[in-house]
Amino acid sequence: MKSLTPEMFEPKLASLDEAEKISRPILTYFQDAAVRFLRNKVGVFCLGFLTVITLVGIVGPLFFPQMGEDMAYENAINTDFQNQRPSLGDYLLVTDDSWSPPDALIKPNFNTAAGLLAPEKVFAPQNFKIASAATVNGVTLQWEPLEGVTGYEIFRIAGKKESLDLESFRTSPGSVGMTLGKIEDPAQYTFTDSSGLDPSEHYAYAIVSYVTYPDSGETTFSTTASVLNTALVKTIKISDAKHLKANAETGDTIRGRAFLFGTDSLGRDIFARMVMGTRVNFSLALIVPSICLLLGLIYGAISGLSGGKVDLIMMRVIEVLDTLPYLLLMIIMQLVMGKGVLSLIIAMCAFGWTGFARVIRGEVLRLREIEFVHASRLLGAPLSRLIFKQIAPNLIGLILVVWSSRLPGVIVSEAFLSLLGLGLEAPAASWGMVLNEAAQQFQSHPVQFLLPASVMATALLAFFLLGDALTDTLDPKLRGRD
Amino acid sequence: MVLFRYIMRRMVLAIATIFTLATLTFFLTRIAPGDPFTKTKEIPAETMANLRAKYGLDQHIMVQYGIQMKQIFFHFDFGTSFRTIGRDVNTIIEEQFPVSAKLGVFAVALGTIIGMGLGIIAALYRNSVIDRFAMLLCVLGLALPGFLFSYLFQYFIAVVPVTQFNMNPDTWVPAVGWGTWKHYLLPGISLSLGVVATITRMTRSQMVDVQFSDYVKTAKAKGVSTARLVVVHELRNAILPILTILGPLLVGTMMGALITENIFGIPGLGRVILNAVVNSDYNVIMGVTIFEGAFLVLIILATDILYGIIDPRIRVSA
Repeated sequence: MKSLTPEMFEPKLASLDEAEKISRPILTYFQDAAVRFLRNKVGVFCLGFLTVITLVGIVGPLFFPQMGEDMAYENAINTDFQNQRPSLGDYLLVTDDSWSPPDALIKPNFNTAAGLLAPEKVFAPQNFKIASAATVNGVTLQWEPLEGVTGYEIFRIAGKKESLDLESFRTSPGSVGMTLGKIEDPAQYTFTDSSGLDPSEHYAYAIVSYVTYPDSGETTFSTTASVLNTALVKTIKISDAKHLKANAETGDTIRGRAFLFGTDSLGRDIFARMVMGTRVNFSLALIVPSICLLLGLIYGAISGLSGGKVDLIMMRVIEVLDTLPYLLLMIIMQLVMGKGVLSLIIAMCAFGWTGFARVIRGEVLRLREIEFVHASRLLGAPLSRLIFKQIAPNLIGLILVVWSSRLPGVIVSEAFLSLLGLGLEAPAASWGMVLNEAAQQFQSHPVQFLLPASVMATALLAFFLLGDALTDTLDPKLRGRD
Repeated sequence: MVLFRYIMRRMVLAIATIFTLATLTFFLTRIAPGDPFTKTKEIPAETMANLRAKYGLDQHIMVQYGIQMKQIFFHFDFGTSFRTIGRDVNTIIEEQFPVSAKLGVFAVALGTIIGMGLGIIAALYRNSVIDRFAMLLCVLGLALPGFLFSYLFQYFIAVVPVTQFNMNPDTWVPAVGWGTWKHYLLPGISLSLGVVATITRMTRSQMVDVQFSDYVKTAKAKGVSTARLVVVHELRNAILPILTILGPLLVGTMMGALITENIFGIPGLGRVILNAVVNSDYNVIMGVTIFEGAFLVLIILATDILYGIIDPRIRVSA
């Protein structure tokens, strides 16, 4: 415990200057609000997160490859890339626009006169390998042709790399794998497999040789096979490759597009569509509440300032409008006006302003009894001046709170209408449109829905928490509580 | 006398609301591009004229308006569907409404029970883990739309266990359909999350407010047990505002269930609206909108009147 000394009991000198001294910097309302807001970690984080999304929406599309012929990149349909999983961009082999399997090659100067091999001497061809690249278009196999055999038979198995049982495939290829083809010319030394190749699988091939003895008609196969296994290289057509790399040539390997969210059923990049959709959704989220606010401000201020019968009737009108089933009316309005951003704005604004009008009327009723408004009115200020010069500036905190609480609702409404097929005109991209398209095949390709949905959910949560934070900092009713 | 005047005023307002709604939907559907018959296959001009005459579409718009209003307000008749020949809107509503209503009541009842329980516990143990959890649930339920939960629940609870973990699809929760009690679970829970969030938040704030009132302090000082304190003294006073939002919450949940009904293949009004939207069947849309609007208005009216009877402060200020 601190020991008590006599000095501690000396009376302090009373100084008027000291008592009245303003020791902290003078803060305006907004500086004060900013200080309070910055103390709210969740709010700051949400604001930062939403700023990042907004920036991605503004800047992101500039990094998309350009598509010619008035086709926006995010709407470009690419049938080669349907329902791709999310990836950072695979390496793609550039091929000609029209691919056809190469002709089988025959070895020149092949000694066809050699006698047939004895049954116990029949063995599998050596040097079994991939002729060039194994691509999704086709895998060309090559081997050393054998003298003294009648032909070869080729088998294939497919699966995950670890699950391929190469040893049993080598000893009994016919029972493990599927037969790809029987080659009846012993001089042929290449074969191209182009049937149903799937880039996500691993493939193993086996080749055996056989001898058919003309006198007995019996056929003897080599007891073991030559086996190889390979993954497939994805390909891209040269005309598509030119969009990615202008100087691409057939045979080059280029890095394909990164499909961060995968592609949809039409092969469109879902991430690109989400980025473009951000523009639509965030514009809506900013425009709709602002229009509602303007309408509500005018209506509420007139109602509040007029008072009496006018106020009564105007409030009854709002009560009537508030009880209408706005979701259904929004659907009807969308039907009437057709799809599009403008009709979305009108449909959402038509019934969204009443809440603003209510809040603003209440605040106006309080404010209009304050002296400076009386003074302004006494000096002959018109109603418009009263509204915009006297009342509105004092409403800003409250307005911002109500305004920010409306932002997530707009995004939900857009998704709601789009899921009903009443959003934008296809193929335009918005978050709701992406969700709607992904929802059609949710069961088979859940990733296409889950990734965009989590983006939307995160944004909604951020908007909601930001609104809460703004309420804490700006709502005058809460000021001075903490 | 004051109560009577209050009730009369609410009723006049309710009728005005329904009338406004009917007028609004009528004129909105009439200015829609094309009429209901242009979207089907080519119809000869003569047939078209007959069809239009049959449905009264050839008359002056104000005459049509008058006829329709008379039908709606004096005969409670919403007309016939333009698409499904011979089906009138009343029958459609009679058949499908109970399904939506059952689902809505289930979701709201479930949400209210859970929400009130969670709200009370959160208020009793403020800033505890349970309180934090309840607040997290509130943020999720309020910020995210019900249809998002519907999609997720259907996939992760109904589909994945069957396809990935070999659950028996006959005994596990069904992914789609309607009929048994199991069909209520997933759509009901996904719709109830919003209700849980609303009710939890309200209960908690009401309970916290009540906790500091003098009569609770007095009761505590007299040594009333915690259980009795919560149930008899606190909850009774906190519950009134919650009761008043249940009606509008029910209607809101039912109308918001549009997409959820579609996801789970539930034959309710949601699907009716969806089909009507696809086919531009304006009579059905108008009928359902007016019906649901009237339902909402009546529920709010009933709530207001009941509240006016229970709480005399309301009728004086209104």
